[in-house]
Amino acid sequence: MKQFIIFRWFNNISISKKMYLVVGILGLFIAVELSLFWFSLNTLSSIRAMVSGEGLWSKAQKDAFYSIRRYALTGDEKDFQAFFDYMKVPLGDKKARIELEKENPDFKIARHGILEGRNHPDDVDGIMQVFIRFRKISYMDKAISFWAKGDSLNEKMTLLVGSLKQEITSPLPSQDKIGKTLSDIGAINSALIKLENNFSSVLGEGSRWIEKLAMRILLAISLMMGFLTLILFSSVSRKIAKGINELKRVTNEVAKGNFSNKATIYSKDEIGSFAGSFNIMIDELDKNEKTIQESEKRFSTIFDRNPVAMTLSDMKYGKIAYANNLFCSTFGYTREEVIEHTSKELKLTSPEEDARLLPFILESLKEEIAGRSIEELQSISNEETEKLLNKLKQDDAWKNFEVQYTRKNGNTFPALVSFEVIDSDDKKFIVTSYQDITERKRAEEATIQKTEELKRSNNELEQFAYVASHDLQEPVRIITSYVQLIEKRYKDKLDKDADEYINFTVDAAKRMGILINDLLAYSRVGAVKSGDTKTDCNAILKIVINLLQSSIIETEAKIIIDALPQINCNEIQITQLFQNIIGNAIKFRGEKKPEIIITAKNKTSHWLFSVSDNGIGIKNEYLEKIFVIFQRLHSKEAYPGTGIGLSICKKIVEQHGGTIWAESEFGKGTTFYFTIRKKMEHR
Amino acid sequence: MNKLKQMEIFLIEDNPADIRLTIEALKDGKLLNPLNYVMDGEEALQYLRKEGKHINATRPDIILLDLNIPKISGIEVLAEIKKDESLKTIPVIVLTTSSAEQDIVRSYKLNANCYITKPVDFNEFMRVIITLEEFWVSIVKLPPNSDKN
Repeated sequence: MKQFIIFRWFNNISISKKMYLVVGILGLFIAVELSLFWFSLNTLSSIRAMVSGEGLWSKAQKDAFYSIRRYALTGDEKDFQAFFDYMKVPLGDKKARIELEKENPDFKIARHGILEGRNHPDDVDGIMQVFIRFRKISYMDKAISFWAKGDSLNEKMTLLVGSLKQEITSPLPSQDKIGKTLSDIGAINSALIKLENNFSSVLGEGSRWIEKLAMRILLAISLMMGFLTLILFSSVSRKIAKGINELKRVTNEVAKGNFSNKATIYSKDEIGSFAGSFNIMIDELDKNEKTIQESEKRFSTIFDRNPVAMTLSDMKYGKIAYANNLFCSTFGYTREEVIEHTSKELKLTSPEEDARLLPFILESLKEEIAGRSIEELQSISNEETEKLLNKLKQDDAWKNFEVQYTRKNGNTFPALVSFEVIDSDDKKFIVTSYQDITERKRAEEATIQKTEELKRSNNELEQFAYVASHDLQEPVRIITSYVQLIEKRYKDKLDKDADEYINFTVDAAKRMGILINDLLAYSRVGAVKSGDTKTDCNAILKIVINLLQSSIIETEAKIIIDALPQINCNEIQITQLFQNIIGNAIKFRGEKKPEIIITAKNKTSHWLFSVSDNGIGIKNEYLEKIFVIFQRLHSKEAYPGTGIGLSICKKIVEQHGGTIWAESEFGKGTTFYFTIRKKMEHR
Repeated sequence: MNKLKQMEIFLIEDNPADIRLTIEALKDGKLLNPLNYVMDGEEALQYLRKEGKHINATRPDIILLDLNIPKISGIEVLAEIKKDESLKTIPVIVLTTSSAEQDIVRSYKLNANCYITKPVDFNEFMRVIITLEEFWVSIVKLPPNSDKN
């Protein structure tokens, strides 16, 4: 578990930390190795010092031995003294050994002892360290025991040397005794030589052992170091490679347009955080891609569902990149059949139609293409193509220009064509729309036909009304006349009933005559063209007042006339118009004396006339009905009339491009308004 | 003086009812001038030119002309009369049911002496006929009748 934590921790530290860690571990190993190396060197040199100390020790011991032998021969006190001088070396060493073998050695004493052993001062510390450090190691233990034995033999020898001096300095030295002591001393010396050799060889063995051990440890550490380094590096590099490979894999997926794949984050180091950022980037790309796709979808839907056939084609080669549904259904192709083809390849226009269109195109672009060869024009740049297209577009000749297009099945249809140059992905495209106007044309033709028919039937109707009323008038006049003749000749000769019958017949016949006459007048308004001679309305009003003179006088009517304009009109018709309206104003007067006000106002395109009276007025619900032919609001007993007068007025006003209407307050008076257009169109 | 002299009236009218009506109207007048009539344009011209069965016809003093008559229309008859040197001095009174502007204009352009729309009312009609008779017979001085001289 703890190991896992370490691994996880290691995973999550940064790469630089990982590197530092690896280098640190390596450094540590190197330090350990160096210190071990130093330790071994140190130890070995100390052992060497110790061995050399033994050499000094044994040399001093030998010198002492030889001094004592000389002394035995010469009896020279100096030689004897020399023995002790020499013996100071082993004694010093012994002092140091004893001190160092203590639990808490006094290193001062030990140092002193070692220096007395004539060792080099630099070696002192090494000797002491080796002594203490390796005291328990068998080699050292053995060596020290040899050393101790040597020391005890030295003591024996010193004792023998003391007895030898006694013998020599005795008054009667016994040569035997001296010889025997000397041989004993010699034996000890030999034993010492043996011990010395043992000491040296044991230490040598020890140092070789140390050497081997040190070498092995160094080798082991080196191997371990190598191995660990290998593991660490491979683990780190494997982890880095794994992270990078994962990023590589995901990058490839993204390149293929697959945004659902996310990079797995194996560690929290730089690569891990890079992978994290990379995933965020993929998300953003995905979001962007989706937004683009959505907007693309939205636009293609709009394009597809546009109620006008459309294509998108590249400007350079004219190849159709996309065609909407209506284009396909209108022209009868599947989308696959049109995409990557030009309109020329599809023969959307027949060669005859192309030939018809060419002069128009050349005419529109004559300034641009003047003096240029066809080869030159065929290889013009995109920019110039665009310029020419825009120029073509701006030419009024191409507005509502009809082109005959050919469907796949060979049928043709008229369409209005328009185009737009757009930039997309650094490429120029042309959006062309083909508005099929078959239906519109059909409707237009139908409307024209209907209008013609209507005109004809209207004319026929007017003609009919004229002929009918004209021909009707004849028999009516005869009937009236003869009934009146009967009345004249036979009145009071028949009975009373007959007289009454004759009266009714005369009345009806007269009324019919007037009716037919009015109808004739009405039909003539349409038949007679409204003129465009300038006519002074003030003069017309004078005529009208003259015509109505008798009733004006009879009713004491007051007529107030504004300054009236000169208008373009049919004088007879306008006279009749005023006569009818003013006549009505007098006819439908109230209790008061009639007061009639006539005004005219100048409007932009027409004159607005008004005729106001203070008569009986018209109820609102009848304001429109009054203009309908034969429409009467009163009994013929109360107000005689045929109900044609205002319909004639309406027809006259309409003939003059105007409208007529009335406003009224029942019981208070009525105002008739009508407009006359200033400029009459010739009909 | 003139009263003693009978003025001959020539009526060109296809409708017998109108012919009779004219006769009746003249009857009510006091002048009792003779009236001859024909019922189509062709016969009217034959009468005036004394052709065919009208070889014995006399030159009328006044012509009452309806425009709406068969074979040769009233307008054509008018044109023929006014073209004819011997006939053009005879006053031609257009007496018709038409009140159409174009008929009036055309008639006067062809030198009709007057144009009258037949009134619907009989009394009016009578008044018109009597007035005409009085005017043309009693009041107006006409050129001498070359035919009778």
